[in-house]
Amino acid sequence: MRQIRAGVSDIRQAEGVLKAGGLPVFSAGNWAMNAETAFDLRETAVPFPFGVMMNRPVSESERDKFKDAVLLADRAGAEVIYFSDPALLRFADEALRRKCIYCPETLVTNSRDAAFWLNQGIGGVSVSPLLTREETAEIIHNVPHAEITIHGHMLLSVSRRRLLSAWRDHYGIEFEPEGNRNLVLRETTRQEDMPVYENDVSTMIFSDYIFESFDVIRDLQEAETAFVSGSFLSSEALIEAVRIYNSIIHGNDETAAVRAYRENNAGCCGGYYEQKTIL
Amino acid sequence: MSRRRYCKPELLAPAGDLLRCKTAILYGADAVYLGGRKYSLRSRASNFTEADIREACAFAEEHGASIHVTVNEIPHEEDFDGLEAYLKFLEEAGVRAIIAASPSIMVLSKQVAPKLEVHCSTQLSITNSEAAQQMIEMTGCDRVVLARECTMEDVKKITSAVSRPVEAFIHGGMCVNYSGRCTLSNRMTLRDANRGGCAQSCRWHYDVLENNRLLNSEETLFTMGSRDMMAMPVLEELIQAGVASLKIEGRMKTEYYVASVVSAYRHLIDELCDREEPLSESRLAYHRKEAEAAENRMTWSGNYPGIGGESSIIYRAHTDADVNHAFLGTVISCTDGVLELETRNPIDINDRIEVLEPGKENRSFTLEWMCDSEGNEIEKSRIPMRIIRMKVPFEVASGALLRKDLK
Repeated sequence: MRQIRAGVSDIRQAEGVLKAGGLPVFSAGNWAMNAETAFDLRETAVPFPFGVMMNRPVSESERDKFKDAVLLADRAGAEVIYFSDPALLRFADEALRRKCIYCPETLVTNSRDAAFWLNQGIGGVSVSPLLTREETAEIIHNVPHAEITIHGHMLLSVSRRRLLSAWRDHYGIEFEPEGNRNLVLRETTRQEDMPVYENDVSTMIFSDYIFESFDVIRDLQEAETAFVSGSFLSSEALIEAVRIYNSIIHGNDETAAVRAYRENNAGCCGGYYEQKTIL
Repeated sequence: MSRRRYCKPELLAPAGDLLRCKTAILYGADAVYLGGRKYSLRSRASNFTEADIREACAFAEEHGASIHVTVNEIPHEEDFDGLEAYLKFLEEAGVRAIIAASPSIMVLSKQVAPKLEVHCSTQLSITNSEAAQQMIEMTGCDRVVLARECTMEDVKKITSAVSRPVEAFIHGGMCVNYSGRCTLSNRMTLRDANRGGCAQSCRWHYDVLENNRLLNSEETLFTMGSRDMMAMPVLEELIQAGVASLKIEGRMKTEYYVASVVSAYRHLIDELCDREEPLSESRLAYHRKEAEAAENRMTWSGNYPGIGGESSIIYRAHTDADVNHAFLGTVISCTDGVLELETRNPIDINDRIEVLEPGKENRSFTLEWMCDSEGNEIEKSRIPMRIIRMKVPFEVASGALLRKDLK
């Protein structure tokens, strides 16, 4: 494994991720399917290596703005650009394509589709986190330039509709949905709280648990890179996760740090690594 | 002044089994999409065996229609086992197209079964013309099915810009989230939404908390269950935009639903394209009433007029008050003004009953006499799946469907 990458919300988090041995990935405008704070690359030059997340579907009327935003990220020096809308491939030249990671969250679940996207000349492909450890291992063994998501609150759904605003408007409930990172959904027969986030173009729901891969990262080192999602993680939890993974893949024993991490961050679990979804 | 375009599009209907497939074709579908036992979403639909697919293709050919088969799961490694042989079988059986969400399946199909058209599934969330064209060029797909997040402006620009036909949804259940990107069901039930196991967790009820403070009461629970799509108000615009295929959602739906909805859209499309001008409000209302007769959920026009807000979500729990018609049964035979019927719902003397028959405008009559299978006159029927006979004032074909208006 060559690198750990992590979604960040600001320069301070980015510097922490860098210090922990990772590559910070900013969210550009509202182009990302995550809840990290957007970073304006026009206003602030980034004095260190970084990536940019821009992986939501793009509507027809947004195409030109999307292109401008991708080209800005490229000019600003982004090392990697995450995308899922195939429209990017219409304007990306060979050099830009090599920076791009196809990252549709859920759609890359097998080696053949991963290889298909890599054959478009892009730099990498993000494997779905819905797979078992064996399935993930098989894909990263079969295809080069695979990235795996290893940590964080997982994105469960993305709606183009502003669902919290719609609910507020329907019932006249007083709260501000847009940009509010203090909201959770709790299904009425359960106890788990799922973070929910609405911006001006979408509503996203995240897992109640923190997906983690501390025990399996050594088995998945054939992946070229790994990603830690920063959505709804504290800066401390985000940076410490990057540090631990980076240390483990360099051969160090982090048993005590992992134990402490799990004690400090309730609800850590291995997602679907040991539990295959059913039809 | 440029003349409006009224190229008649394909009407594409769903079918969960052979009976519903034949019903869809008889009631006016130009094409039917269905799923085989593997590789298809909607795993709980009573999907087709290979023999069923052959029979569906033969029936479709006999009636000038075509069959599309969904191969639209997001596949895991093991899901490719046997796929190549299956694609060859579909080609040989006379299937016209597969609907696929995996680009490698699209490419594989072109290699091993070149006579099959490949339609790029809505699971890929295609919402702009460059994305559509890129998928066409990368996979060689013959058609792009648009995401249901497209507005009418998106549709117009995409259809005018891409080199292959475009398909758009016009009716039925809607995912509130981008299709293919939603794993709520996986988390809530461990059922994989992208491989046919969706538990529709979006329709469940949720509390909303802000910093641990409950924002709702028992009466104002959060939900995100979408209203069903009913695009009749914008159908003329879709046709004029050049959409090649208009798709009805619902492989899990009943024979009655398929017949009612297909028939309603068949009549509307034919009327629009034959007249080549917009319909009056009253004609549109008539067709809309027909399409909604089989609905038991609230409807809206989808995101075509603009991305949905408050009015696109169903906030209250489902009640029988949402049902506006009751399906009474399928006609077994009709001789000398007496028809034999296998019942499904309660029937009473003096009910106003409508007859749905392929290729005909709906007719209605007031029920004045009926008897049980022994010939005993009855005033009401309450047992489903029993055989009864009733007098009708006109001849009715076998296979016709009866319903009554509950409102």
